[in-house]
Amino acid sequence: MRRLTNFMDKPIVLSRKSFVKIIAGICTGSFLWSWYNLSKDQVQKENQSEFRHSEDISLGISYFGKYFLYRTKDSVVAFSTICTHAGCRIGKSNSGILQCECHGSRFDAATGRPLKGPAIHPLRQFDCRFDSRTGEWIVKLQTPKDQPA
Amino acid sequence: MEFRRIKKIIQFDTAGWIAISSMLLCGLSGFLLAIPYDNSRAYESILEMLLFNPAGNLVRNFHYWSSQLFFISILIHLYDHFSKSTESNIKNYRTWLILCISLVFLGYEMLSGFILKGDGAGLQAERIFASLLESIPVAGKILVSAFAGREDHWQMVYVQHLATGTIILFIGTYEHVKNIWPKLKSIVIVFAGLLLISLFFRAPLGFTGSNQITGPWFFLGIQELLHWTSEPRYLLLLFFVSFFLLIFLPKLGIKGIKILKRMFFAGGILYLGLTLLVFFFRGNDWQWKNSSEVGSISEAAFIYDPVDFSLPKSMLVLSDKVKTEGCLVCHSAMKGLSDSHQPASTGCFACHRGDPFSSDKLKAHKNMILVPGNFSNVRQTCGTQNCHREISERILSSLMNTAGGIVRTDRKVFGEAISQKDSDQVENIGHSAADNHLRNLCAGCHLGIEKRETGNATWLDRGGGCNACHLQYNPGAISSLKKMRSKDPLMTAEIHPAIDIQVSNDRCKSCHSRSGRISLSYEGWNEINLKPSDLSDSVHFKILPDDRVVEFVQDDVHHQKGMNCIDCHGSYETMGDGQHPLHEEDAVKVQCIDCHPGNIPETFMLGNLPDRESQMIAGLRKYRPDTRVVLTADGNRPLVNTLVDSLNRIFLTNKLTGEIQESKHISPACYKGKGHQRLACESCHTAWVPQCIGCHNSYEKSTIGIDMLTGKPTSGSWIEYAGKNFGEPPTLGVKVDGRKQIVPAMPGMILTIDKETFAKGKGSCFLRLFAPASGHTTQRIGRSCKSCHNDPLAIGYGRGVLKFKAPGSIGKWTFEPRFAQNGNDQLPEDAWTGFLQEAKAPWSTRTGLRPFTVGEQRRILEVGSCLTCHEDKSRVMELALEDFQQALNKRCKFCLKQQ
Ligand code: FES
Repeated sequence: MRRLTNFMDKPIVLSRKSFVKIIAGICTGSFLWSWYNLSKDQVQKENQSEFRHSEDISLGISYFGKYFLYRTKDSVVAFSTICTHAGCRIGKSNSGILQCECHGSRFDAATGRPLKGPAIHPLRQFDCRFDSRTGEWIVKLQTPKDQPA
Repeated sequence: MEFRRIKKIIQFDTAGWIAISSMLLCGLSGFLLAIPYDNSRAYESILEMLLFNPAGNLVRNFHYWSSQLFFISILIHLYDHFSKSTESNIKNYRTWLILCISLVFLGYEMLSGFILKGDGAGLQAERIFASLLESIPVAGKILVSAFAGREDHWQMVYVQHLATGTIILFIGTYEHVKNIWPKLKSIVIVFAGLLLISLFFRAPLGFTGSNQITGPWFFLGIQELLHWTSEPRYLLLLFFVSFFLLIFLPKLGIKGIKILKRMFFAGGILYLGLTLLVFFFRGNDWQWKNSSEVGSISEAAFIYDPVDFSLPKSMLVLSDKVKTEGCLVCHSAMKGLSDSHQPASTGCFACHRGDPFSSDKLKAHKNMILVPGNFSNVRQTCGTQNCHREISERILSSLMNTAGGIVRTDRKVFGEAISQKDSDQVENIGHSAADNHLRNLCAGCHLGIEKRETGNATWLDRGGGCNACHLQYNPGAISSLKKMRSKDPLMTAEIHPAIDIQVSNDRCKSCHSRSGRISLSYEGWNEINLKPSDLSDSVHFKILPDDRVVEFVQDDVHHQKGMNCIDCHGSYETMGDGQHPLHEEDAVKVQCIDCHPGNIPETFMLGNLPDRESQMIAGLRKYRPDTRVVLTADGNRPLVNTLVDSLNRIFLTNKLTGEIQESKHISPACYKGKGHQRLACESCHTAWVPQCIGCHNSYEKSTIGIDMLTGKPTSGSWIEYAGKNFGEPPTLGVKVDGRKQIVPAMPGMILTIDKETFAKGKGSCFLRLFAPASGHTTQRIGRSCKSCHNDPLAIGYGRGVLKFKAPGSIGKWTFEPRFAQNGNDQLPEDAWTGFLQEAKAPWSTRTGLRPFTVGEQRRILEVGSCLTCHEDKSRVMELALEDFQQALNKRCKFCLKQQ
């Protein structure tokens, strides 16, 4: 039987400790690889959610947990309800201003822009389109294609 | 000797071993807790433990308190090591590394424990944690999915809390001490102490609907730092820098270690300071707490709630349909509430507070709010973020709460300074002559007066905040109330008074039957100066519950059609629009022309209501979103109970009965010709207004009065002596408000005020002030021409005989007053202005309202002179209405000229 050699033709001596280390490394690597892939799939799956709403959405804010819709005379926009400051969910509001109760940021519901800090970034806008075939508004929890992420 | 023994007991072991004891106990209790805890319905399962499972409750308390002890002991242990420099005993760098990692997992265990409660604060903490993790470059998203899991879904957090975190902490401990078995004595003392605390103090639990993050206490400092920075990733950077400095601490020289430890110490002190700052000074929405806010933004550290082993043995499970509150264990069958306030969806706590996590009656009812609608409670009840926050904010500046119009008018009449701001609020009034006058006679009529008793408001009850209008006891609720008062033990399936938007006219009456008395007038009743004992006829007269006598004159045409106050006056008029109106006419936007326009009405699609509150109301009333409704000309407010059809006909839905009636467009006669273009609709269509003359107000030092604001008796009181009352057509005047308009007016205050007797007053004064009349006695057919042009009361002279005498070809008007002249201004008692005289200011309770000038009086009388011969509807008068000058030019030789 031939002994294992390296490229300098020197014999590779595989001690028991090294063997265990290699096996441990392979196990850790596979664990991390599986973790990465499973998590990535999960994240992707969550982002693919799609929600439908009938045409007669009322003017102003309609609140739906993860997002809210803001209807003006001519359009409907969807924004995430996650505060861009530190991730809290902003509370419901009856006016056009949304308040985050965690640290007091305020947002303009029509544009998602922050009106009062600490938040400085606008609310994330979601893709919201009208499906003329079904007469429904479709909201996808993704940034609209024509918007910067 | 004694002291030493006590000290010995207290210092039974080092912080390190106490930490290990508590860690073991925490692990064990966590294992037990996993049996009743269900991470797929985390909140409900904890609530079930609190309510029905005393053993589970005890284990949960124990787990919580042991974790707290573990955390604090570790901090003390760290401090001990660092202060004595004994951390250098850890020679093996691998052990140091594992300990550093264990510290991170200690933080994670504490935070994940807080998250796993599943309440609103836990959810928000999870979101913050996830967002911080996510901002880590490259690995952020994956770390989130591993350690924070999906939102509203605690499986990953639970696994990491239960397994990973626990294993790492045990490994860290073993690496550190090579032993995890403390002395038996230590573990017994720690166990006994924790058991004692757990028996009496509940582990916290918040509410599911709340978006406010209230803790945990060790997270408050981070929260404050987050509040200061717009970029939370800096905080993460700070964490990583500190972590790496800690990791490399043993590698530094002695000096470096010393500096670093000092930095950690200073950081710790700073963090503690921040935590205390938040605990004591932060309020709602992370603003500095105002004086009216009580409690802390942090969840209470110690909630005294002894575990009750006498609770039912059988494990009850809360129905998923039922709001997760302990109150519903007894009260889920409560009937009587409208759909929007059903206990199954709203619970009881949202309105009545108390302790929703206890099924013990006494504990559950502790600190309950009996009358949630009182404005002193409203921020905790009706006006919370998830309920009617915006209404509760705007109603505070509404006139029904501030009574600002009354305060300003009264102060003006007394010659005291008035402001245009909030200081003219009835709740802020002081003790000047005017303010005491208000306290004795007027201050009871505003919503801020607290309702203190359960039961329907009676005629004499005023105020009560939201309940003043929205709480209705039907007979079932009244009999339930009787039972409750009699302490009947069979109380569970009872009837709650309705909380709804069906506000009947009766709710308005207790306040609006006074002063302008519009509630009485609307139903046709005029208050008169008779005593109940003087009455012989019960058809035309009525005795009010407060013994005032009223006489029937004529009710409003809208009342005849069955309409209610709320059919015209909607939410923004009654509860304010957040502005600060000076007087009632600034707050009321609805006008006759909105429902009775001359041409095509302005409309609005109901589905496009801009604010959620109006949408909710329209939804509750089941109005269709594709309904075209009327938009008010003043203020552009949609009248939600109207409907405009394709022919532009307007229909009005009665809000209480649902009956629909057509609302007719105005007659062309109303806008024909130039003659009456400046006339407000009310000038012709107000049938009558209550008028009283000859009032006298004096301060009687020896009379015991009542301070209506505080409800306390006062020694000395303002007393009002009423003069004569009439229910007759109004006087007309001119409202100058950009343009001139002829409007009805009524005596607002024709009175003498005897300020001399009031210690701070400056003497007696006489005033003849008329006020804008909002009659609420609308008649379909307008007044006749003569009733204005030939009537001395309408023109402002008061009652009497007005005659056009014609000794030759020049006619002359004469007036004989019915009432004697008042010595103060030489005018008849009921006049607003002298016959063909200019009036002397002040003449009105409002700026912008005045009586007719001499020129205007002459012009009115000139038409009146024609009417002495020509009938109202004659061709001549029709022509005069269209073009008076042309009519004058056509006068014949028989026509008299006015002098
Ligand atoms: S998370 Fe919204 S203000 Fe901080």
